[in-house]
Amino acid sequence: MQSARPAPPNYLVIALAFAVSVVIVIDRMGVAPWLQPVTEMLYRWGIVLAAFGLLLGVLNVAWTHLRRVFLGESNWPYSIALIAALVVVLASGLFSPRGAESALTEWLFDSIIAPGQATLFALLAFFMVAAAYRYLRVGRNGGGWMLASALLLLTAQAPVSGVWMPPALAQFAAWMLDVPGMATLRGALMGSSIALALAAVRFMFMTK
Amino acid sequence: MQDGASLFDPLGAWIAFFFTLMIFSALAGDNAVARLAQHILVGAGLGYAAVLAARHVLLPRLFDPLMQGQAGLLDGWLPLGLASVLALAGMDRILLRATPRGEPLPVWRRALHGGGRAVTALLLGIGLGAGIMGALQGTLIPQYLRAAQIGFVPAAPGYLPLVGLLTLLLTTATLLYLYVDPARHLQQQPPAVRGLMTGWLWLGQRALWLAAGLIFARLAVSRLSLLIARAAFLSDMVHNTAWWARVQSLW
Amino acid sequence: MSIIRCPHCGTANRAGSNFCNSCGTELRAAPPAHAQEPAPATAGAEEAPPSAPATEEPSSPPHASPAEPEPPAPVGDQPWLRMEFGGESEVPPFEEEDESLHAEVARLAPGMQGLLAPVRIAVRNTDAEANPERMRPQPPHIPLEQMRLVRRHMESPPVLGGAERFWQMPDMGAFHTPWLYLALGLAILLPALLMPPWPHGAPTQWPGVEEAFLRVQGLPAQAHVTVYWAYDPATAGELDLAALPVVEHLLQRRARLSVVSLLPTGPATARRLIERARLEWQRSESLTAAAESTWRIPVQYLPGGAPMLALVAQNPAQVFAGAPPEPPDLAIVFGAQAEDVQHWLEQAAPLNRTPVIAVVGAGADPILRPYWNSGQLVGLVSGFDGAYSYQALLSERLPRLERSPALDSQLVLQDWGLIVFFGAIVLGNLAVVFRRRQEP
Repeated sequence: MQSARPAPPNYLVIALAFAVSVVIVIDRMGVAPWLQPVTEMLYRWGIVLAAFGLLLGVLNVAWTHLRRVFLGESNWPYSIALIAALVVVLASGLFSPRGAESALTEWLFDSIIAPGQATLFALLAFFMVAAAYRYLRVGRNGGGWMLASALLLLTAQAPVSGVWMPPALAQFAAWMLDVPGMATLRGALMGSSIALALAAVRFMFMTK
Repeated sequence: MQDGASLFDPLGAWIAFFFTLMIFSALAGDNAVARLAQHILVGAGLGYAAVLAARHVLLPRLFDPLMQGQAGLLDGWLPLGLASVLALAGMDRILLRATPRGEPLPVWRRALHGGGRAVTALLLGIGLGAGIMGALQGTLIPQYLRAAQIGFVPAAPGYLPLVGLLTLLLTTATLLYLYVDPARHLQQQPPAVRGLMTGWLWLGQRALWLAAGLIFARLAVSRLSLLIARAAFLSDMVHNTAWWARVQSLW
Repeated sequence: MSIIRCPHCGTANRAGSNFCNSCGTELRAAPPAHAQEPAPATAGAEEAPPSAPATEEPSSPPHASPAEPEPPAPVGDQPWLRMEFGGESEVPPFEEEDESLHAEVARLAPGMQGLLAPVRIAVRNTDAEANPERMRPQPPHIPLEQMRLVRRHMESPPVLGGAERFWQMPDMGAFHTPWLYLALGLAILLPALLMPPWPHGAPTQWPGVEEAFLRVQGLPAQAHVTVYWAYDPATAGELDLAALPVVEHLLQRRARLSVVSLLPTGPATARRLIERARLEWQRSESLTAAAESTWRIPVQYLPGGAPMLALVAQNPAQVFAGAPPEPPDLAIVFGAQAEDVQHWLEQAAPLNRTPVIAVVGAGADPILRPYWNSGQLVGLVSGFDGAYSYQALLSERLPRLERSPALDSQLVLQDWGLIVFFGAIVLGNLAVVFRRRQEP
């Protein structure tokens, strides 16, 4: 056969995941208050395990880039920069008694991490304007409807509109947001929640 | 911010200035400067996350109580054991090479991987249970009740006959559009039902398009705000330079 | 059959694979495995003869001339992706797969990996067990012209929606995009530098802002407020605008805040904004820093994702040392995305039944409207306009409180940016009109 067969399931592991999720579900239903200490303990374990998982993730990235440097793979100089930045921030936080609130870590945060993250997300504005050019077109499938509502809201929320726009237009935009938009997105939220809950149940029972 | 403010000196500000420009240079296409900045950013971000996980989570929640003898079996040693298994299994996967396919793993590695899977299953079980009940208690039931209430109950707050019905109509139309496939589900229906459902689905599709336009418009100003914040930072830096004062004096 | 051994993890992949099935490493440069080592014995009966090429390259089409260049590497053993593909006669016969490929994969978490795979909606076909011969994949019976059309579509860039008309439209995006970037960059940067005079009125006040303000205003002194800080520096440019007046208001109401974040850089962002708000509030009320020096706001980071918010609601003392056991008087979510607020409403709010105010990015506003309508949110402040409206309400009670300069620059530069957006929309629609005129 062409398709690969999956590895046989590990029933012990599945049973464990199922049991834990059932405990959480019963506790959240509020029918067994005596379960609350158990779920709190599970959450506390989850926090600790997730922290270890985060450290593992960092180790994985660091090791991948170290291998790239050692093997001289393409773009290895960038990997050196990544490793160096990681080591500097790690050392600044680990060796200070104040951890991430140490002066050097705060300085690195303000000089590199915060402006870097902010600038990466600021690039999204450029992609949005390209999307406006390409997709808000009357000729596209549904483009006219999207264009109409987008133009209405873009106009209503421009600060300069406060100078000339009749209040009725702003009220209409608010109504669009609060009634038809809300009703539609309520349907979408309910649809996605049903899908999410069903998918979670299917994973719990490991059904295909 | 406590001591950090005193250290956010002109040097840090200028580093931030040039770092911003380096990342913005990606707009001109993939280039070495932008790549370098992105790698530094990823490295610094990962280092920061590791510091936070180690110093602000593991130390106060696990290692300090253990070292001070305040943690018991369930609160200290058991999570430590589980975390150790997870860490060792993860490191085995990351650092040691996989054996060639067909060769069985040594018993200790198989046991380690099984333990790692069990710990991951624990986390997965927490996520699944919380996800199911969260979707039900936080979204599905309250939204369903509100949709029914606003559509049918005159005493409900915000009830206006036409608005209530419109709300219900659009909500159901959207829900139907997401779940009903006309080709599969409407073929065997009587013509009257098929016509009604087709109209309902038509409405749901238009409602979704309208909502997409609203989201796009709000998302546009959201992303513009982020760009404006960076532009304001860059212009503030330029305004604080001596040569900008000279340029201003020219006009 | 021949296989390619992954140089990274050692997994055996089918010859012609571009990436490793296990770890994703690129395999295009890797030599086939049986060039270096013998293939597993179970596949020996079906192996190609020793003289056959190492990798299973499909035979070249009968009409292709020898001078034609070799097909590009990415198509691998999928000849139907090639432009010169002639039809089903070129499809290589399916082979029995190497049994050794089914050996148990030493995976750390197959369940987690399964979570990332798309959910199969189709009904399980039990015929597979009953009649395996019927389930053997058959060569496609598709007319040649139709196959060429499908190939052309597959090679075009992906688009939103399913508009067939799109395929007929000229690709103007590649030409216009750099100019759009330049226009937007200049429209924001030049006014930011030169600060020309520009008229602006009050932005529209959306439903939910006044209700949020009144809810904070109605807090008793020393009220306990839990803050879920769900944004980091990536979105602080927008969220700081909205969060600042709300935090100033909370401080002015003498609320006792406990802050929790699931993002690693969330606590540092929170500390910075709270410090700014504290300084501004002390300045506006002529307080000295010493008067509030003993007052420290706990800021906690919790890894583990949204489920851990349940612990914050269920037993706050497990997260904040010395927190009272009873539920807080108010919960505020500062979140960049609608999902952040959803997480709180789904994981924490059902447990402690505390009223929730959402302070979010503008893009999250429409998606959160159903929660506002259902009463799960008692207030909704979004974007720069929500920040302006909240600040205006606050300034009525605290006249000495100054509006943040960042908000002032937003009021001017948003207009310039939106002009570019309008221009891009007009240009895009003109392109459609222009194209139609060219068509008969």
